[in-house]
Amino acid sequence: MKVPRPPRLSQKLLALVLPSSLRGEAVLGDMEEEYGRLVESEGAFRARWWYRRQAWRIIGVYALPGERPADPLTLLSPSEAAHRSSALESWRQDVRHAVRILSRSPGVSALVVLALGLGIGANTAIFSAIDAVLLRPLPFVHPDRVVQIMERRASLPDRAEVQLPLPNFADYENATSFSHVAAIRPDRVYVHEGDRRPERQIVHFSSALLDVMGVRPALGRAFLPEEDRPDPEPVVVLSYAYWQNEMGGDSTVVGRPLTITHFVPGEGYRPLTLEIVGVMPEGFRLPALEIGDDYKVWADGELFLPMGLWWWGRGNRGMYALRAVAELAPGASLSRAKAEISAIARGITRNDPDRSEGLSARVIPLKEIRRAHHGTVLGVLWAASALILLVVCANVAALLLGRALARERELAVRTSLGASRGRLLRQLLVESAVLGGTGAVAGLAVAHWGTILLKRVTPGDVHGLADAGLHLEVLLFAAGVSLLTILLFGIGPAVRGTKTHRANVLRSGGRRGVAGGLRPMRWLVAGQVALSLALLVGSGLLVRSLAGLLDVDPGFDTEETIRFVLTPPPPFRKPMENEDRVAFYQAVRDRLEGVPGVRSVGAGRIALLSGGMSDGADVTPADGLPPGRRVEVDWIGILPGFLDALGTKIVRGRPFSEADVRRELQGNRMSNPWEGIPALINQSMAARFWPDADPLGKRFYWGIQDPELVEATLGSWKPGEPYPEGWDNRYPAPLPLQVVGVVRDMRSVDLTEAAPPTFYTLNAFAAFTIYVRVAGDPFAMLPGLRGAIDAVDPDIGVESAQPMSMAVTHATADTRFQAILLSLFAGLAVVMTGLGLFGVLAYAVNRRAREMAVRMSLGARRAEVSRMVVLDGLKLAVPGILAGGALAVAGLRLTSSLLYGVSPTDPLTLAAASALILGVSLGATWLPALRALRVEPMEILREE
Amino acid sequence: MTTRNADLGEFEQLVLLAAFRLGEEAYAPDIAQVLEDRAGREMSRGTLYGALDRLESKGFLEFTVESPTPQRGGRRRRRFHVTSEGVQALADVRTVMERMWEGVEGRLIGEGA
Repeated sequence: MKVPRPPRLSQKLLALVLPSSLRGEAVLGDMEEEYGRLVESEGAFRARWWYRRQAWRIIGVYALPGERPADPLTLLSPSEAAHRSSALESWRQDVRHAVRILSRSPGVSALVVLALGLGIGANTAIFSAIDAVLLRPLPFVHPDRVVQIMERRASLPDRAEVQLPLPNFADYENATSFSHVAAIRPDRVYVHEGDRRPERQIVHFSSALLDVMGVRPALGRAFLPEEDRPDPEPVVVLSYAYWQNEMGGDSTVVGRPLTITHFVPGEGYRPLTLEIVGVMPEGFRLPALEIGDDYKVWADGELFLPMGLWWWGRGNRGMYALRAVAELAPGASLSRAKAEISAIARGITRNDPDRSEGLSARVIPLKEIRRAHHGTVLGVLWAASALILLVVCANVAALLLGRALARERELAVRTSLGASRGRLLRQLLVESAVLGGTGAVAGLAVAHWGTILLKRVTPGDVHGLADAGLHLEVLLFAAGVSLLTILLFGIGPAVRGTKTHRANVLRSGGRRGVAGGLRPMRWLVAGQVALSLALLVGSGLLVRSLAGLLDVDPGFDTEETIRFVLTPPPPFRKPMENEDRVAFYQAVRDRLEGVPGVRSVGAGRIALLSGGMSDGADVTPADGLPPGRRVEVDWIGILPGFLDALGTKIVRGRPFSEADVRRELQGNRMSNPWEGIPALINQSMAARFWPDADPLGKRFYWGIQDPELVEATLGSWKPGEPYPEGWDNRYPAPLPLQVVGVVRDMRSVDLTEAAPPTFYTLNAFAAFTIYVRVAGDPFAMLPGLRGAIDAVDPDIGVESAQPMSMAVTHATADTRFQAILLSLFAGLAVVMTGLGLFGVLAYAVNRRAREMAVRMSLGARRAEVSRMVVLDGLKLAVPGILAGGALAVAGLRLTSSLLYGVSPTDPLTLAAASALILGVSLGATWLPALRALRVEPMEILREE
Repeated sequence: MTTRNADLGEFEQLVLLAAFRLGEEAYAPDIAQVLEDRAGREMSRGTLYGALDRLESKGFLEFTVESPTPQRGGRRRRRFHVTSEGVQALADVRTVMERMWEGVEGRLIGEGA
């Protein structure tokens, strides 16, 4: 008859918890016996149920600590006496034993824990960033179905993305592929708060936005669909922060008025009274979008206004102003949405070819945008930290392997005394687990500080990074990594260490063949060399990129120039005309030039190298080329002194003069249209417009009127008069410009981008961005200069003061950050590899001391012996270097987007990194070789 | 030898009494069976083995080892004996209980009805 077997898992658990003595055996036997009886009387189903329940109750009793009677020794067999403690106790014993063994060599153990801590910690810290920046679901109802709609214009090759004109957005809004389409547009207004009129950030958005985000206002209501359409009843929704800080969190604000002063096209600054209809919930932020080269929140609004209250650009397909998010309609695919939006864009181009030339529209899931912006950097950093962890594992495994070999004798003795291989394996694995567990705790500490550090040193605003921390997912990841690490470095040595043929070991006095036991260690070390080389090449490439960036000549002086950004007074409070602005600038200039050490003062409406975009302008060359289509170029408004203050040069022609300024202020620019407004152009624009001719005296139009019509009618038209027939009343009159000089190219926006075609005109608003070139340390001169500006007009404040060297630092921050982090990783890897190599060679020398002694006594010279050691080291390093080189060439192609001016397969970097690794390898062989030199043949042979 | 009552918990008393009642056949499953028959509900084996261990520590129970059987998955079995200290403890408890009950049995019946 077949004996019924109780539920296996419960029985296993029970056996694990019960003392592995007679007592436990008897209980297990009782349970099985009762189970068998129950199967007969009640059936297998109920019996199993009973067994499981009772097993758990017994486990509940025996898993708790408590006094248990000892089994009388007379009743136990000898092997039971050896295993008298419970299974749990025996694990505890293993742990205690492991701790004892490990503390016997505290140096090595500390090194292992430190290495593991750094490896696990670095991985966890990077993962916490990846989790926060890339893996969290986006803040939408259907995060995977939200897309950004963007436009691109063939005439703007360098700009990845352009905002949407309002009429284009209205066309996209009708697409059937989307269930919601929402526009966002930030602005600034002056808010009437008692006697004050502070400037506040507002954001206009469509009512659909909150549907896409699944957000409800904390108080009152959000915008209604009818408020998306032009000129609704004026309403405002407060941000939670504004409500708390400015309204004291008063819950009766809904329904109250709030007055703002804003600019109305054609009318100037006008007050507008809004009704407060709601308050957004705490922590509400607009979604992050692709903004230029960034993925970020466009603006943090203090107040929110409906789209219908945004006047600018109504009916103007030339005003790129909005950003749009949309949610795919249920059942609509991304490809269908793309096709539909493209078709709409083609329709726009067909109906308005002049202003929509080269227009194409794109639909990209926000998830992809997020990944595209942060995926590469984080991926590379993660790969680097994973490589580090592998190096650490290899290193630790080699160390433990060495220790296992050194313990061969101990293990052999234990085996011959009856310890099973499984038992020894378990002991060795417990040792690894103790090391790994301690390493993991150290790793968590490293990760904690690493995450804080990462947040602090990461340049710019990486959306989501602020939320990075040791969250549950991150802790799970750390636990997984630790477990994997323990397995990676623990299993090999444990298996290896218990594979000992005990008879051989005991017979040979604990020594084995010369190389045999070392082969796995050699593999591990060669692997470390390869991984380290790959890391080293990666960091080398980034360092070279950084050096390349710092070497870029931006075309202006960055060492001794300081930029001051000023805040003009609110225009309705203190109206300033162009004369006032220029007069203010003249006063500031006079005063600053009186400060000792100031070489020149200028003004220009551009925040050089601030990462922002410069102003674009539509221009059409009128001379030299057949009147053709418009081209968009950069425009910088300046006042006299700008070029000198930046230390840049006029290549041809002349700079602006005071006479030009006076003439501009008199407003007679149209008195002789064919003379044109004086303009400077850069070399890049000269090369683009007039590649084969002298650009001096050439003319071009600025504006989006039809140039041919303008050409034909401009002579008979005066400012203030109605536009001639054919001109578009919605746009300003075109300005004819005439080139008076050619300026050196400046990399004004980004160090990595060649200067775009750019022209300069005089502009009174430039008065609020002052550049000062000094002789000496700019930082030392800052306070004095600031005071001089402050003294000119109490209504005009200094918003920021920054030496341009800081702007360069800022512009190179990303590359610098990556280079530093990767260098840190690579440095760590190289040190580890050096130590690993040293450890293996030193160990090999120890083991081969006898062989060397014999060789020497047979007449080998010491130099030959030490050469043997060095060659041994090279035999490890060279294959590692070859493999690492291949790895680097294969893997680093992914990093090319992070590099500047250097190819991912740059041979020089590869060679330098290889040389460094080779040098470290030779260094690591040096001590063991010296040791081999000191081998005293007679002493060693006598010991035998 | 006298035994303090505090040394014998209530459940332990029942277990010890069941073993005493079973005499030469006091195996753990049978002790459980007796208790289940008289208490009318399923006995937790965890509580039972805990109590057996404690009684053994206190010297009220001891066991001899019997050879394995196939029904037990080839495991050996313990046969319990109540020691003389155990018998004494049971007797002591009984004496105390009887003294406590003297003259109140009638009331219990009256109020319980």
